[in-house]
Amino acid sequence: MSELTSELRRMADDAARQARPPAVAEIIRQGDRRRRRSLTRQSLGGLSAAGIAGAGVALGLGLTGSAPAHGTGTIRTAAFTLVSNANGTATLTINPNVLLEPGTLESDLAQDGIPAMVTTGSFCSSDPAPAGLSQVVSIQKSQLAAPPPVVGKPQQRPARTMTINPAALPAGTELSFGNFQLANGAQTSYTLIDTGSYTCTSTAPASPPADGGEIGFSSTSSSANTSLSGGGPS
Amino acid sequence: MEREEFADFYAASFQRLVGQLYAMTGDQSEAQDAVQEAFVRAWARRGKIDRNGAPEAWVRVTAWRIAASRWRRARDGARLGSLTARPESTAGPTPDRVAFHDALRKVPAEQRRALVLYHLCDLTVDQVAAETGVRAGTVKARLARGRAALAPHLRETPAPVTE
Repeated sequence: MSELTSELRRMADDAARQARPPAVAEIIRQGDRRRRRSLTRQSLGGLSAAGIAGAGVALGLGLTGSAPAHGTGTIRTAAFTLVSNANGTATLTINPNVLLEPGTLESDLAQDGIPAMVTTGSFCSSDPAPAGLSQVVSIQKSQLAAPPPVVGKPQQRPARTMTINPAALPAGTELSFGNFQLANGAQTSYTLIDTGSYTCTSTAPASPPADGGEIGFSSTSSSANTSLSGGGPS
Repeated sequence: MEREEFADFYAASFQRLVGQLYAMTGDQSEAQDAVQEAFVRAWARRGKIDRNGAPEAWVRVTAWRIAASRWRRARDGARLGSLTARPESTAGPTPDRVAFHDALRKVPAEQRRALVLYHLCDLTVDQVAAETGVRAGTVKARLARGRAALAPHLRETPAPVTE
């Protein structure tokens, strides 16, 4: 090895040792946001090219389906419905039969002042989890019944609803939603995380997090039941 | 690239890349910032990285461009001065090493980049040429000039550049 190589290597090794990599989840989150902004810009560019008048007509008609419909205080997609309430809370109804598009839910929650990290195929949590989840999230006790089974199709599960109060979020925390497509259905786990210290796992929680909750298929059940629990100790 | 694969790649290469960028830029925090930003872009454009097939090189090139862009913006400001003239602050280096680091900082940026890619990252001249977007002859010239500038601070005579 040449002396030049040795010196360069020594310099680089010293610098590498001093480097403090941020949590990869934070990098991914920023990357996801960057991607969404980029897609939005491209989309706006497309709209501009197509003509603002035409776009206005399309928006005025109120797009439905998987495209979010804004403007009435309600955002409705195939995977979730988000209603902005007059008292500053938001009511989120998740359809456990459809996999969430994390960026859409995250940005729509942000519009309601709810900082959230929404991930698919992973779940982020802090240890210990910040206190206060039960003040932030309240679960609707009465739920709709499951749609009647259709022969030859998987059992559909009823949508689940929670009310989120962003004013109750402790400083430095946000909600974390982890959505998983399991063999027996979709599952969404949620909890409160400390934005300065959290880790993410690609394994779906086998049971609702101790300081969180779960929407979707109960992995402890042998049938296509739904489970909804939450509001751990706070 | 899936999330788990990206996390493994990030864990395996972040610090190494900061070390390489530090050798190129001479600024620890600049190196860390540029690498961090490059990883954010890497995740945002992971489809492009998948097609590229060399994610570490992609992040290194992107981090270099980010750092170089900041230099350009600060060309007439104090930051450039601090990058090129600030004394080494690492605890306990020998005077010889301080002199070497100072000499390296004074080497023009593209020569320094070529030296780091060739001597530290173990790239061939052709690979350095591909990564820096210049011809192999230009890389050889940059290496020769950079090594000549550093020669007074090295005890040995540098070996000739090989392809």
